[in-house]
Formats: sequence, C-alpha cells, structure tokens
Amino acid sequence: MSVGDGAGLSPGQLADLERALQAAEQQCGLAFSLFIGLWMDGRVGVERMHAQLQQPERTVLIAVHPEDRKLEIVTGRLARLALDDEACELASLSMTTSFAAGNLVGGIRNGLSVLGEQGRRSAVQWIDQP
Amino acid sequence: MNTVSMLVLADTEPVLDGLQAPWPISLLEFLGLFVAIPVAFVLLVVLLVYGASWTRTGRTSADYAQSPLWLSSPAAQTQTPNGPGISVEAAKASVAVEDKPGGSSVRW
Repeated sequence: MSVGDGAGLSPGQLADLERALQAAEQQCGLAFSLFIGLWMDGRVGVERMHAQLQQPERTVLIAVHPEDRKLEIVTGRLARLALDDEACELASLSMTTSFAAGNLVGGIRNGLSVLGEQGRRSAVQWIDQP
Repeated sequence: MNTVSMLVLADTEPVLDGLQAPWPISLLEFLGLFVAIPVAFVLLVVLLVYGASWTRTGRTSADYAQSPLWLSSPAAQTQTPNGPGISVEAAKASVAVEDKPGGSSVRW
C-alpha cells in the first residue's frame, strides 16, 4: 500500500518497491515500512514516525531523504531481536552504494533484500539453538 | 528519341540499374539526407535514454518535502481483527529485550 503521490517515482518503480517490501516480509516475518521524504529532528524524528506505525514493535522502518542524502533504519523492540544493528548497517551500506550511483529504487530494493535475508538467518539460528 | 536526347535524360534523371528514383534528387538534397537521418536517429536515442534514466542520474523532479511517500508491507498495515469469538490474552513473553529501538543511521 502506498500513501502519497509517488514522490516522483513511476508506477513501475512503486510496484517494484511494494514487491520488495512483501518479499522481505515473507522472508523474515517482520513488517516493513518505507518512507521517502523530509523529516525533522534527525534520528529522533524517524523514531517518532516509527512509534506511530500500527505495529511498531515488529516493524522495520526505512526512511530515506534523497536530497539531504540521509538514510535511517529503525527497528522495533521485537524486530531488533531478528535484525540487530549490525544487520541494519550492512543493509545501509548496500543501499548507500546504490544511492551514491543515483539508483534510489535499486538501493532500497537491495537493502530490503539484505534485511529480509539477515532476518531469516536470525530466525533459523534461533530454531537451531534451543 | 535520338541518341542526344537519351544522353541528356541520362544526365538529368538518376537511373539505377533500370530503376528510376521516385524524384530527381540533387547532390545538396542527398547530402542533407545523408547527414539528417543519422543525426535524427542519434537524437531519438539520446531522448529515449535520457527519458528512461532520469531518476537514476539524480535528476529527480520530486519535491520530497511536499509529497513524501509511505510504503508498507502487508503486515505493517494489518491490525488485530475485532471479529466474533473469545479473546484470550496470551502469556507474556519473558524475553529480555531493550526498550530502545535499534537500527542504523547513515549519510551518503
């Protein structure tokens, strides 16, 4: 589901992002939200947005501001169990590499893929380790 | 038609192996077409490439301050259904977790 006028993205790109969000969710079972736009108060502002989501505890929020070149990933209390900060940094690195090349959609897609994969690995580790 | 008039015709009207050109074409017109067709093709390709890659090269027309975009995966949109049935509260989990949200913060 998208809210907003698309932030200049084409319908194909929006569909791409929605598919990537769904794939990441299916991979690791966490909920994902993506925000592209301007926010205030830096990290605190993104955490405030995250807290206003429907299920913040198990939601991962990715906030991107292309003009200010800022990327924030916020994991909820439970989501953090599956996706630790190192996994988020790994995803950030993957995303910013593409962003630096001017590929916004591809970067987000890569980041979601990394997050989904890392979250799935954590889940598997939990099952393997009683 | 005598030989002289045939020679004059051969000089003025291009004849290619028995096929006649649809219209008499001068050297200037030929050169113009010779240059214009490749130039038009190159322009078309440049326009198509530019149009297809305008978001990839940072030439975004979006005003993100005015029109932010929110996208959510299906689980992020659903709420616990309020349907008929008995509501049973699950046992509280006793896993120790940090209250502070995690994540990362990067600039590129």
